[in-house]
Amino acid sequence: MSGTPARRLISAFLLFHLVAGGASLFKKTAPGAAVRTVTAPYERTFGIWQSWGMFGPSPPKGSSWMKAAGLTPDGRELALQPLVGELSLDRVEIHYDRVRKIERNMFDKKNHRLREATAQWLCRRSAEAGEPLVSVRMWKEQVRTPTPPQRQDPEHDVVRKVSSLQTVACP
Amino acid sequence: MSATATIAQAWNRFWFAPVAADAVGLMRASLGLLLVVGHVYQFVNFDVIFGADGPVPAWVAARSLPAPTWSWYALFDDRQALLAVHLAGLIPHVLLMLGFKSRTMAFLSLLVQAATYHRNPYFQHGGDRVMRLATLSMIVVPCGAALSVDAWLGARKGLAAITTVPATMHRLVQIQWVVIYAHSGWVKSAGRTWENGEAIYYAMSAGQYQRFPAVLEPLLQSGFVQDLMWLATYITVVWEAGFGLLVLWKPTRYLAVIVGVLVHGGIALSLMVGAFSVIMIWGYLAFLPPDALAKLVARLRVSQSR
Repeated sequence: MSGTPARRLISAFLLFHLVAGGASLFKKTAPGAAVRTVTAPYERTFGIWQSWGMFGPSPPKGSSWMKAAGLTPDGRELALQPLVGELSLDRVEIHYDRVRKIERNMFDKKNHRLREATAQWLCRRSAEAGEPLVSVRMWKEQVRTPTPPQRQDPEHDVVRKVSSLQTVACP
Repeated sequence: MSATATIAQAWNRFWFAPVAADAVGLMRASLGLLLVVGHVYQFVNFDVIFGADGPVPAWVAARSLPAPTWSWYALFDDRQALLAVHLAGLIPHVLLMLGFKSRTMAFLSLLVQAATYHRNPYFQHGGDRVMRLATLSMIVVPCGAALSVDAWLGARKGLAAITTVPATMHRLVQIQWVVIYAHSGWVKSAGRTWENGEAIYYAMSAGQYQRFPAVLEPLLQSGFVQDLMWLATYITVVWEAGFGLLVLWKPTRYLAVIVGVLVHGGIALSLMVGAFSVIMIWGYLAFLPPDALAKLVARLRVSQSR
């Protein structure tokens, strides 16, 4: 690693960057976890951690979307338009919809704060439209993808699954 | 020669061997273009992504992300101010693309990308992270030595043109791409659908990703198309897991790159996965001989001057 001071500095950075990347990849091992106590702030600051699942270990076995309903003070339940909701099958999409990614993140159990904030946003929108709400209930609907042989049968059963996500009180 | 000196020499040869400055300039300019397009695109859903009164206010990320969290977007509540901040964030991307104070702009561009991530990580995908890593790799080389405003200004001052720069950016991108595919292949190896050949079929069937469901849905019913997807599943896993080995030898390197373009191109045409496909294909430029890219740039210059 001889050379100019600039080259030495870059070499030191490269070493650090590679070590940080390695620790990020092997964060579940004892050495990886130990190294990450030093390197994690670097990867978090720049958002450059290493994890590359990409449809792994398996792609989703269904089409999912979010649904939401609001409870009014007089006990009625109103259907609310979530961020995206159910997608039509005859659509053609050219541009990538960033909002859909936000909605997909809401399916993750750990993202309860995201669901809470989105529910509060739905509360505000409904109140602005003249329909104040007591609470918002959110759930995920999934149409299970038929197996390849099932799909060749036009009469195959469509299996829908509903999973509750969260109910949030309106402020 | 001592072992330390030998290691130091090998290190220097690997990271700092000269490569054509035009090749680096081409990669810088094209990365800058991708960053500009990506940043402008965020205006489409601006209020949902960044709005203080939107579904993802700043406190969500601040309380959910592990420390340290930071973002200048979180300092503003006013919509006009936020729009101005986001518009200002475009400046380093544009200047990186044009090659003005390129290394500084690469660093500022990385900060802008990280600031949007810390403001709202939920709209981001893996491709955004690859972009940040690619931008970081530009900081460690004189990426504005060619095809840049910097080079043009230097020429006006009568400075000699810089024709070669260290290979550091190329190496970082090469290592990063090998890591991405190796890790992805490793994660997939634990998946049942990748093992039984059904993974691509299921990926193509997921409605939330489909680009043209009306076209895809009838195709997915066909036994022949299902067989093709079965084959594509195994090709993808073998190619991903073997990418690091395939790129070591020149003839298989080109095969790995061609398969990569086909895989990522196929994904981009059929599924909505953001800029991931495009940035991965961009990285393949680092696996092509820098001299060949420089020749291509020279040819373009000649045809332009005619």
